[in-house]
Amino acid sequence: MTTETAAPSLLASAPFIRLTRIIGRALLYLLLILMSLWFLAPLFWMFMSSFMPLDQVGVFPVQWIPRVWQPENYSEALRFWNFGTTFRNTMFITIISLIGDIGSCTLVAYGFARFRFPFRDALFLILLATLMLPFAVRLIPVYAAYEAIGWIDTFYPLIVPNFFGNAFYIFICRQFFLGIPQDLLDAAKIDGASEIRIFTQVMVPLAKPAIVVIAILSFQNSWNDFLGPLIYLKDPDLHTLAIGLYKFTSLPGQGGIYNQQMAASTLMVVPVLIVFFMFQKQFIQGANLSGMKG
Amino acid sequence: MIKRATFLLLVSVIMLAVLPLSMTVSAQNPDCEGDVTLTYWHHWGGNRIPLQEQQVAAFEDANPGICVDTIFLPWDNRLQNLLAAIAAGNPPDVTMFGRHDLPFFAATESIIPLDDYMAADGIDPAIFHPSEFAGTQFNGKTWLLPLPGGGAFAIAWYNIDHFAEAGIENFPETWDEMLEVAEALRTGDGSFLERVGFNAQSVTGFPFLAWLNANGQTWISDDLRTITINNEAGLQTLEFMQAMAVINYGIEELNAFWEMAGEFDQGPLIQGLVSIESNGSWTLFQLEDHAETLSYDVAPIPYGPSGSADRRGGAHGGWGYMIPKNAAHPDEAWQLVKWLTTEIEGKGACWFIQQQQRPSPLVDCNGYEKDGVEHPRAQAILGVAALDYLVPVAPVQPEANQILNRMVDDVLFGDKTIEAALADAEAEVQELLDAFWEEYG
Amino acid sequence: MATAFGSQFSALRGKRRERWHNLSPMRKREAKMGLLFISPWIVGVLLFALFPFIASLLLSFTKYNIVQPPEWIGAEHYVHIFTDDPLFLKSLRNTGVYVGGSVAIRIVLGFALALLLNTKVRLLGLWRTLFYLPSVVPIVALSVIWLYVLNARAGLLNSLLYSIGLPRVRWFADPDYAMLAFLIMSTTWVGVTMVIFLAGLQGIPEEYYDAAKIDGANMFQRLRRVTIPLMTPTIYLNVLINIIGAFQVFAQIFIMTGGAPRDATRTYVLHLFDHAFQYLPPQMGYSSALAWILFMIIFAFTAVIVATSQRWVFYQGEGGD
Repeated sequence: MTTETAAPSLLASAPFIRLTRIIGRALLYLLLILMSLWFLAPLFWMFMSSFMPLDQVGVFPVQWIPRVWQPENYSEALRFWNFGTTFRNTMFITIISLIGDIGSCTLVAYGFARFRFPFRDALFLILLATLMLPFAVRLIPVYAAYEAIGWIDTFYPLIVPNFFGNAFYIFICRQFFLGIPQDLLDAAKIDGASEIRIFTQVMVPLAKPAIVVIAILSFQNSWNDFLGPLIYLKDPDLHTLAIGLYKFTSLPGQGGIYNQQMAASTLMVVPVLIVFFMFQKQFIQGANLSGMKG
Repeated sequence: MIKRATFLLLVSVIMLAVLPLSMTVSAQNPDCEGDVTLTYWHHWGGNRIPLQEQQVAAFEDANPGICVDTIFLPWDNRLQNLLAAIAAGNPPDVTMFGRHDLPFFAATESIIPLDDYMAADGIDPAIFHPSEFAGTQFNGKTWLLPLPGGGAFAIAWYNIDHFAEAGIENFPETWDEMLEVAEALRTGDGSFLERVGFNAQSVTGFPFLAWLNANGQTWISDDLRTITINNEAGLQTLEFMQAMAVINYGIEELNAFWEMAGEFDQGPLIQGLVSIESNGSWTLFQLEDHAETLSYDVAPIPYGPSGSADRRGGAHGGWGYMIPKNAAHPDEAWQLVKWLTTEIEGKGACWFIQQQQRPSPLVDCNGYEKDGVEHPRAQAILGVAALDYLVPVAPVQPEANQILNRMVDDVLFGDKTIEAALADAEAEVQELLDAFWEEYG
Repeated sequence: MATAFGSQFSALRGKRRERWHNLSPMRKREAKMGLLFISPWIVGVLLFALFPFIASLLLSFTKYNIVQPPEWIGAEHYVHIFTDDPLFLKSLRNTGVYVGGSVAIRIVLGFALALLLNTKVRLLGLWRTLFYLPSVVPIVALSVIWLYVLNARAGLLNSLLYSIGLPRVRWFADPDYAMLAFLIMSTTWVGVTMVIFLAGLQGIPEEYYDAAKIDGANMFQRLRRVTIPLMTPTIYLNVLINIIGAFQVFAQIFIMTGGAPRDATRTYVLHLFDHAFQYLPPQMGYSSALAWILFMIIFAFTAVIVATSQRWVFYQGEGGD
């Protein structure tokens, strides 16, 4: 890091460099703190308001500190939520979808990234095109189709499609595979490794950062998905956490239990944060590409 | 690394999943055993969810053999859910329903008319207040039964202390008086509002229609085929709304100020941000819960120059319960509809309304009587309701509402003259109506 | 690098002429392997995507109120959209503003944050988690929160502006600023872009930086000559995905403004949603026609970006064969 080889001058003198470095660091941390204030302030309010009495939530100017601390907002929110059932349902859908997403998207992405076949680019455009038609107009045909095969009021519509690849995740993974130097593959091929072995033992470990991203996004999407469960899951025993968030609101203009909704939202955020915090460690500068190459 | 992370994740999942087992409360009645399970959708969120569950449990007790899956769905997504289910041939057995959504579903017969059921079970339409029952009719048939009462009628709730400070003794009767009073109650520095006397835009339901109604004019002909807003009464209505916005420093400042009102239980009246608020009957329990110190009273909204003192607000829409066509168990569904809308003895319609202290559509049920005690405000509110006049619902109501709101904005933002805005909106809505009747008439 | 680009081009030109029958046996085997790997997706498209796509395309030529069978009317809806629907152009313009603004915000801010958090800062995990935090909050809660932040009279942002001597903005009450308010809100999801960029940064071998340092390149030169060129695949990915997503912005607008004020926040998908599930009778045919026009627009943007990508996207892995 500090092997500067420039000719000696005032600008390159050790104290000056140290000084600029300290100032740079200070500015960096200041920037980080300011940015995190921007991102955190709304979330901090969510947390604080989850302890407020209801009539403090809608007061302007916005209040930050609960007038009375009401931890019972949380127990009340749990009652609305049917937490045990909805939590297990959500966990189940999320984990299975996650497995499906990672498995299918890495495979498909590898196919797009590493093999030449006719119409590959056209197929890739079609892949992206699957993201381009709004949900509102797909809903009726999709719902009717699921009803016809008896999938309404089951978890299948929320889980099975994930085993056939999601265009967004495939794209992420494909970009990453394309960035892996060809020499590594050639070396493996010379060693006589099969395509499947190259995929599982060379490519997948190398694509770890991309897979981590897919895992994070997939977890978060299934966890927070509202429209899907709302439409496909009518049986209360199958409900998910995200549906429950709407139970705190009522008919238009007739008020909602916003302090409890904020408590429920806070609870919903925690598991995703734990997952993210655990996985983000996988982003470590320089990863292993250089290591393997060298 | 991944392995340890996954392991930790699994452990925390299992722990979190096991912990809350003890607090599980099922939405279904686990004791219910029956041959028929009805699917029932409703939009009573928040504090009404437990009331719904108790009401349905009582129904199950009273009707052995019938069980009910009670499902809360968000109001905003109601049509999306209902239409998808109808299209797939798998609708709920009973669903809560906006009366303003009725004409289309009735015209296409996607819901079941209830007249035969009513006749068979001796349900006389006269058990409902006539104005409530009127909202259930289309093409001469009854398509739903009402509940709650037209809670959307316009009541003016006002702050007595503000009135005293400004030296105003009586609540205004006419629009001209209302403008004067609103100006006297408003405070601010000429461009920045501190308190609003009254916001004509905030009338429950559809402001323009409510005011037009209070000006003696119904917005659509009785046969629902011709729109009638481009006339003297319509002109006066927009003039009044415009004048009220000017008093409040213009529409942009008013809207900016009004964002502090929001949809929260502690609305602008409770916070002292406004002196007169026009809102539905549900405001009562919000005031009870959150404004112990507020001294307030209720009055009917004032009437316009073409109107009269006995016709004020405009009840518009409201809710009811209906049975979609292709419902799996229509006969049992009818039993549930009856329970939800006509039951007076058990924990049914009347009990549900009384718990919320709001007007009942049933003649023999006083919605303001809870545990045998009548609410002290009951007679005042019912007095206002007596002046209420049902605003008919057009078959193209949702899109028409957008057009009418746009018309009001065109005037208030100064983009069009009142005459031009009225003419354009009338033509646009008429075109929609013509297209509807051409297809479904 | 020049040679890498060159070989990419020649490879591309070669591909254009590729047909199954004139592939060499080895290339045939490669093609079969590739198709085998993408087969789950092909099956998925046939099972899950194809039917709703075809159904909605056909419905766009019909009058369809959902509760009764559709009735074929030809291109009537398309004619109506282009000749007699003022809200079509208005919502398209609003959407364009959102796409331009939010994509720029997410790319620039997301990239900057990723660079910042790919250095040796203390508490790295904490910062990353903090910046990602807002993206994991469910949209219902976010909407309630942002209505507070952007409240015209007493919101957090206006309090901030006021305290540093700037005038208050009437955000959602002012047709000129309402869309800007949603753009400000779109910073919420910068964390997602940041995470993808972070993953991309892991693919840059340290040697490239070491080599650049030996050449005496300073931080900005290293950014311009090493980081950005090697990050082009990830930039390309983020640009495309964010454009496709931004064109369909809906949930927060549906919950927070419903298109108000003066239709200033009426976005394209809100407009077509209204026709499908707000208006009665429902106009699913019209809504589908609107959706297919949007589809064409997004597809055109995507195709142009994909076609030009060969000029500016550089893959380390390619060109080696």
